[in-house]
Amino acid sequence: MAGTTLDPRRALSAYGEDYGTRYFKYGPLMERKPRIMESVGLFLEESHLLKMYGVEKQLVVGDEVKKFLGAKSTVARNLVYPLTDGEVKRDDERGWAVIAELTKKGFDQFGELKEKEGFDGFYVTAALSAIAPEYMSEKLLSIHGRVDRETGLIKAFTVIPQPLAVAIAEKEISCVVIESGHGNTQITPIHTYPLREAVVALYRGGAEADAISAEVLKDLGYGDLASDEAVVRKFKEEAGLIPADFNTAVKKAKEDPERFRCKVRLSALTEIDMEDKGWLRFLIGEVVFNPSHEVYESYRKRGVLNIRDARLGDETIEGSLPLDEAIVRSIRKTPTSLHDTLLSKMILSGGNFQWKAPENLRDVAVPSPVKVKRLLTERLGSTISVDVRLTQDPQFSVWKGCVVWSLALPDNYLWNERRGEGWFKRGVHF
Amino acid sequence: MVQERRSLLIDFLRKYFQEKGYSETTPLEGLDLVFASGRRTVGVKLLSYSSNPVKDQKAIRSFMYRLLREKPCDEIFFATEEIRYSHLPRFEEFKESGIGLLKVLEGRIEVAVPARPFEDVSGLTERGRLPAIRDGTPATVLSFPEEILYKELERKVVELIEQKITEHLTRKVQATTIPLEVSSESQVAKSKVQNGDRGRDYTDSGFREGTALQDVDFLKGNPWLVELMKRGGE
Repeated sequence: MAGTTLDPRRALSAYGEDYGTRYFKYGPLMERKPRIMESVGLFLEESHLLKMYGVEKQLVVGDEVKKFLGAKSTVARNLVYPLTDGEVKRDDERGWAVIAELTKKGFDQFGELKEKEGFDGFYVTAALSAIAPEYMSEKLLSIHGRVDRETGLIKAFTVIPQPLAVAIAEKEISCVVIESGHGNTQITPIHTYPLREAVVALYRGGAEADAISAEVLKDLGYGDLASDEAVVRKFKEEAGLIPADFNTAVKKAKEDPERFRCKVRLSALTEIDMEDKGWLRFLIGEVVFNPSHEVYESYRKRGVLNIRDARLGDETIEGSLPLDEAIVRSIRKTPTSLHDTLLSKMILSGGNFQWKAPENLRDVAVPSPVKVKRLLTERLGSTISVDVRLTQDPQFSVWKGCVVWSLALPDNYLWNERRGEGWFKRGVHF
Repeated sequence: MVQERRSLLIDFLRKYFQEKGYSETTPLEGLDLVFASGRRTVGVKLLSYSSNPVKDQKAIRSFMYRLLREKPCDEIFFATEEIRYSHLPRFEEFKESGIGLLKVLEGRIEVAVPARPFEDVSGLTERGRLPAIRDGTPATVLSFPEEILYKELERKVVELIEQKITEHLTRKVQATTIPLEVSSESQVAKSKVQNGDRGRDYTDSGFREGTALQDVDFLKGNPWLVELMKRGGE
């Protein structure tokens, strides 16, 4: 064994980074919880006013952005959300500049640790989407090398897939992690290592539920609100429901509209009332699981659900593949001896699986694990043992997995190309 | 095939030491390669593994004792293509003995444990034989007959190794249950993290005094801790 004990001093230097599409979660294990910054940057145009106030920066990131928001036209030109579907394009210079600044800003908050005796820098584990292209790891390595040259705070760096981090946080050695965030959904079987050849990725996530919510708002007569991202998200979170069975749920909602009526208050002056259109709530939730349902045909025609296909090796994964089909496809690619274990340990993670299931609607509206289990049981038969659960801490589980990785991975386990894991070390790799 | 691989590794080692300014000299018994630079000599023993980790550990450890007794060169390295932790004595034992460990990879060599000249190794400096070889000065007169010193040295080494094995086994048991103990009060070193409201006092292991890694829910009983610690050693 590489080491049968943990170095207690490593606890001080274990650091995690979760580069999520909407939020960057970062920080050392010793804080037990990550700090959070919005994954956003604003490039400041040269301004005499800013100079007058002593602002020399060209780029601000995270929460600082709010202080500098100006006219809408300027914002549209200069506001950069670097990650789309969990990726930053290779040649997106502004996106990478924002990522670099977010990373640096994170470490700057722990600069004082340098003065601590025996502290030689953090062991940093960053999590990226399971389908992030390789150049993303390379770019991150180069960014961390630069940050270390500037701050001396990074001793070693590595990258792991987000689903693996979730499995670690959930303490499962063999499982399937289904991570669904804003931009994509990744199905990753794990058995000590992520079984990379069995990863199935879908380029859909919370964004598709947002798109349907916006359309529902238009259909309800609130077209003016449909372009406000924050309003759409709030409406989705308050009104959206996952149907146990879509057709039954819609039928019941149409028969008894008052029971499914939903009012969403946005401010003291604005309230959305769904009146007798409560059945539309199921449209929002169902899209996460089966966007190929015929009910979405009109949305597809309008270009609302334009989900791109993913390429994995030689295979094309249709963007609108039903989730249960995608899960089965993924598990089939693993060794047969693992199938039963994997089916009995499925973990749902990410904001796109966090849906309300009000008590009074439990006969038709269910939480996401129940939905996934139901879909798989329908597909595979009720004799198959399927167990699905939500991650205990959906918001921070990726960060938790990262810090465990930073804590326990042996110091002398350098980057192993074949395994796709190991440390990049200061003085060796950067 | 194995023989070919072995000669390939020997070639890598030759190249490595030659690049460091050493030239190869006549091999000594038990060592596969011996290099010299001026009066300094370095010996290398290539390790091969059997299917029995316990047997391998025992054989390597026994060979370490022999080298410590005989000191055929100023520095000794064991070299291996793959570091199998379960087959090797603990790294601490290498460090204590001064015997180094090299990992021979395709085209490059990593020093897993650096070697120390035997005269620097604690408990050995009074021997006097090495300075004589190194400086050409007459050997110092030993105050005890050499065999007594050898026995004393052997006793100390055996004691040390037994102590290390006990520590190792104790830690192994701890690692499979709750992996970490937190530092004592004396280790408290204050380090305020920026962001005034979140600033806290941390111990050397990063946690507030009186708290422990075991208290962290996602670490408690996490099988990945043991799994990850095995990485690189399979």
